[in-house]
Amino acid sequence: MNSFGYVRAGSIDEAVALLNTPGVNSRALAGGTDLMVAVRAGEAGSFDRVVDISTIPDLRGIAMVGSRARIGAATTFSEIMRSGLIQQHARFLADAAHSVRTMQITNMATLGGNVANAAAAADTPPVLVCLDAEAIIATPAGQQRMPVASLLRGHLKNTLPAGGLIVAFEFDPLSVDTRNTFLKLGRRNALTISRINMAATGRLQADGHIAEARLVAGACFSRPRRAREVEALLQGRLPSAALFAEAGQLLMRLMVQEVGQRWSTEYKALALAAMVEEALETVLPLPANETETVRSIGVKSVESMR
Amino acid sequence: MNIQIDFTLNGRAVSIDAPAHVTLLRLLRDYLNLTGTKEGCAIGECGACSVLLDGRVVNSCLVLAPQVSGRDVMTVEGLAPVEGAMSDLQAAFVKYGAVQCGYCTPGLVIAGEALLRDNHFPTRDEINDGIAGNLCRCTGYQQIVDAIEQTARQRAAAQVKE
Ligand code: FES
Ligand code: FES
Repeated sequence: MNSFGYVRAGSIDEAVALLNTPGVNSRALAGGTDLMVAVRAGEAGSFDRVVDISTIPDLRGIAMVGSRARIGAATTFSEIMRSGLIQQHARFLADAAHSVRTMQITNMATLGGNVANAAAAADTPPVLVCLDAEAIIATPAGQQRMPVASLLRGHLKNTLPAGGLIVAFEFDPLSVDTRNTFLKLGRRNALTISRINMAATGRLQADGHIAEARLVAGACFSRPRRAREVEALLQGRLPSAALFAEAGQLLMRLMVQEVGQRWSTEYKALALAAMVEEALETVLPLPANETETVRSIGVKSVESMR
Repeated sequence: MNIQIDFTLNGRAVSIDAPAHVTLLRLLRDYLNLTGTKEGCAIGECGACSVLLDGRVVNSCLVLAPQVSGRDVMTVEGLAPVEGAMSDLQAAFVKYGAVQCGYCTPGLVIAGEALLRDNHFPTRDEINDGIAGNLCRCTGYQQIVDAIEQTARQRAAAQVKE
């Protein structure tokens, strides 16, 4: 293990100053659940010191700020799971945090860390992208805002401005008539990494047509993004098993188009299509007479989180 | 680069000099000679190194030692009310056959304790959820769940009597 120093930041300004001290290669440390594993594996690169940001009061907590929900970047997964505000306005974010399944990790892992680390299989980024969440970033030149979707660049790559620190995330709470779901197909029940995950929201008009649907698949594309093509297909239509199957096929084709054929594609594509159907059934309930048909359709091997 | 780390360990104030880059697990075992906390995987997957940090269960192999400065750490050594005795949960582990090779036990007792402090009446499902981060290669888990469940009942009964 390489040797490095430690300094604890007491405020956001101090953290930014410490992260940008000339001549010192500093690394932000929040929950440590990714960084410490990378250090242990010799994959963290070399740095002179860690700047501990986990106890900065302004980086923690969940609150409404005006009409927006705001989550401090160093808020832990456990805090998100327990938050009444999140349960009410964006339950699928709590579900994504809970899907990690182990208290030892959820008590330490932070939302900001999950995004900044940008692992392809991370659980919360697809949900934040689905919410069109914005990240608020502190830099030596002041604060700036960036959509989470454009912060994520690919596996373990983010587009944070140099020396920047994610301070918080903000999003519009889901309306009461918007349903949401988080699904995960993982290697095993417990512990972190999912092979495919999916966040979806849906709202029906009074006449049963689809007012809005959003769909984000994680760990399938080069980075999590809203599947606008699928969303457009659904918009204004009546929910039906056939429509959801079409949506699944479309997302499957998009995935193959974008990432090409790999050894795992055949399996992933099938699983992805089944997950799309399951997610859409949850967020866009079928009229009662349609429910029967769905049950008789193909592969239903997806493990739902709830 | 050494750093002075002041924190509360099992109810006592501790001040220790250690390299800044060591983990809490190494600090406990190598610098403070508290070897109850075990190292299994060292990458956050097995839970053998579980300790309570400010009352919440964490993997000490993923915590950097200086991160605990000013905070409260409890290890398996601190659970018993008096030295050399066992806590009710530890006694239940023995009684229900939840210990075989014993390597996972300190971590599981800590995870069980964290769960019981948070949830006084856990269902078996909730207990399973609570110990999902702890691997045991020997027992098959049922005895461990029994021990935690029975301890919850005992504590609830004791509460009623008081
Ligand atoms: S040794 Fe820490 S989780 Fe395995
Ligand atoms: S008793 Fe041997 S690993 Fe649990």
